[in-house]
Amino acid sequence: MIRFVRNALVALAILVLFSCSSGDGLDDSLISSNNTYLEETDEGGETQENLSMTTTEPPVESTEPPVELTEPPVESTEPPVEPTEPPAEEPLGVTVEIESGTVVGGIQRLKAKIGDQIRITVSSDVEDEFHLHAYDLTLQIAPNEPATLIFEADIPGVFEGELHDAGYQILSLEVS
Amino acid sequence: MHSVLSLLLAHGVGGRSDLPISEWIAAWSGAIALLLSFAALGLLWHHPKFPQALIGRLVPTPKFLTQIFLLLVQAIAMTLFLVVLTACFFGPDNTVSNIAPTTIFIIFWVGMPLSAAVLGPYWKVISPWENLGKWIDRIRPNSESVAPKWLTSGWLALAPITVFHWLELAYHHGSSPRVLGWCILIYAVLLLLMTWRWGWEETRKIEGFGVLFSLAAAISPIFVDQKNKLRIRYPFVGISSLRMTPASVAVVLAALGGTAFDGVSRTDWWLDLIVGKTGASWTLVNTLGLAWVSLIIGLAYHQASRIGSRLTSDKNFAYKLGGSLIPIFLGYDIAHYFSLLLLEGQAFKILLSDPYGQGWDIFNTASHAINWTVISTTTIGWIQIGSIVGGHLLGVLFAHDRSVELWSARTALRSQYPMLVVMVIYTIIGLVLMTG
Repeated sequence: MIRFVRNALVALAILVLFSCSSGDGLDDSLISSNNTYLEETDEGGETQENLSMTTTEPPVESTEPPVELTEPPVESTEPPVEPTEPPAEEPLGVTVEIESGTVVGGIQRLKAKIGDQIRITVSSDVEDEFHLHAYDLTLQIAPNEPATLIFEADIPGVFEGELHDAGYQILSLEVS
Repeated sequence: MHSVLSLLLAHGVGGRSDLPISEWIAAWSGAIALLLSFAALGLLWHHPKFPQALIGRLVPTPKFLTQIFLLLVQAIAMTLFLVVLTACFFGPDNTVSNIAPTTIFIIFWVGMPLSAAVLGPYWKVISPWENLGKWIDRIRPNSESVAPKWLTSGWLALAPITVFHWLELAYHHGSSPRVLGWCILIYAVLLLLMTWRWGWEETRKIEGFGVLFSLAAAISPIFVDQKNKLRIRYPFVGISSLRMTPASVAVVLAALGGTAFDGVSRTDWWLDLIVGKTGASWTLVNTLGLAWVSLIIGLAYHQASRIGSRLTSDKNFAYKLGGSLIPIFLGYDIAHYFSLLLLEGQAFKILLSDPYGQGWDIFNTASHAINWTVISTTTIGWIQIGSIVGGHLLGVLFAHDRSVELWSARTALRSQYPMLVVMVIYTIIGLVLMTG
């Protein structure tokens, strides 16, 4: 009985772990394959060699098509780019709205390529300061007055953009 | 300038992470690792090869020069320790411009285990605790008191590792120099008191960092034998010389769990979970997350060992094969942190010129800037995949070598199945976290 409960706990915990990067295409296939692992460990039998061979390979094939699918939803959460400023080159833009202590629509994500012009607009109902790590750019934000940062993406990586006073992350910028 | 709160960062230090690696590369490497593991299991060898390679070969070292060299290294390390400790209290109260967080979270926590895996057990030479402990040993009165079980079992070595992870990954003030300073002081005083009472030989068993780093050093080709002579041998075979205990297995698992949670906490899923959370509620959610991920990592190994014990009728299965967790931990560590060491680690060089924020420029590096393009993102991606898969393979290899040493060929092969499953699970977790 205790053994069963413990196994169930491990299974549950690993399931939750693999739902981490949800919407990732990779997940669904991995969840099922992991289930099989755990069932195998329960039996502890001789057939594991074949089982684990067959169960881990499907994800290899199944991961490729859904990869494309992950991108559109990410972009669709971003509010439409307002064509307010007319710079020479239309920058890739994201607008982050802060309302009553949290980000409207969750953490905003922006994917860019090296050399892209980036526009980050932050509006908040309270005064704060926005900071983009590594690029080390800051932006003073007055209540209800959107402030904008325009710069060139020249460092590759995934960067946290956070509010200093509130102290949490509001933006994730991926430059590849 | 920035307020105190202003530069609290989510992961100890650093607000940059690596680009997600592509899913198909990750999946293929996982599959290849699996195939190679099977080859290692069945075909590669049927007799243990590591134990004979343990003796290695003596490296002649001139006694006098060695002592001078060690003293010099010790002096530098001790100075750095004191500078960092005083900077914690008297330097700028800011994560980025104070030298302490960068030194502690990057140079010490990432740099030490990785460099120990290459250079060997040199932490024993430079460790402030080791030096303090040995000094106390010399001056303390001879006491007859026998060290209690909770000390000698070594389980308490989990405490410093756990507290460190909690500061790094869960506590919202964890990267504040003042908090770090108090933690170092409290830790020093506790170790000092225990050493005074029971001696450093016993107290060393619960100095978690020393325990972890000396386990990592077992991989290194460089080692020191019982006569205190420097020797070299093939890299990695040294794992075979370790006598793992339940406590040391737990220490490696805890280190592995924290690293895995660091990966989880950078996923989109986790970011959305904690968005808008600050202060105590941020700490609470992260504490639960850290405990939960560590629990999965630990339970997976525990379960595999139970099955292994049953298959081999050896109730010490978990410790006898525990060494295989060390390369896995190092693989995870490289995958998650080596870019941090290489990029944000450059801040150490800059801060060293002005450790107290006084406008000094001791080494003429104070005006340097971090070069973020010192390594390409493609190279980072390949090193990440290589280290996770490589760590897994070395783990399987060691487990195989140890099991053919301990058991008959048939039992040895069977004993490997549960280990293989748990390692494949770790590899998949590692690779999935790398895909963002």
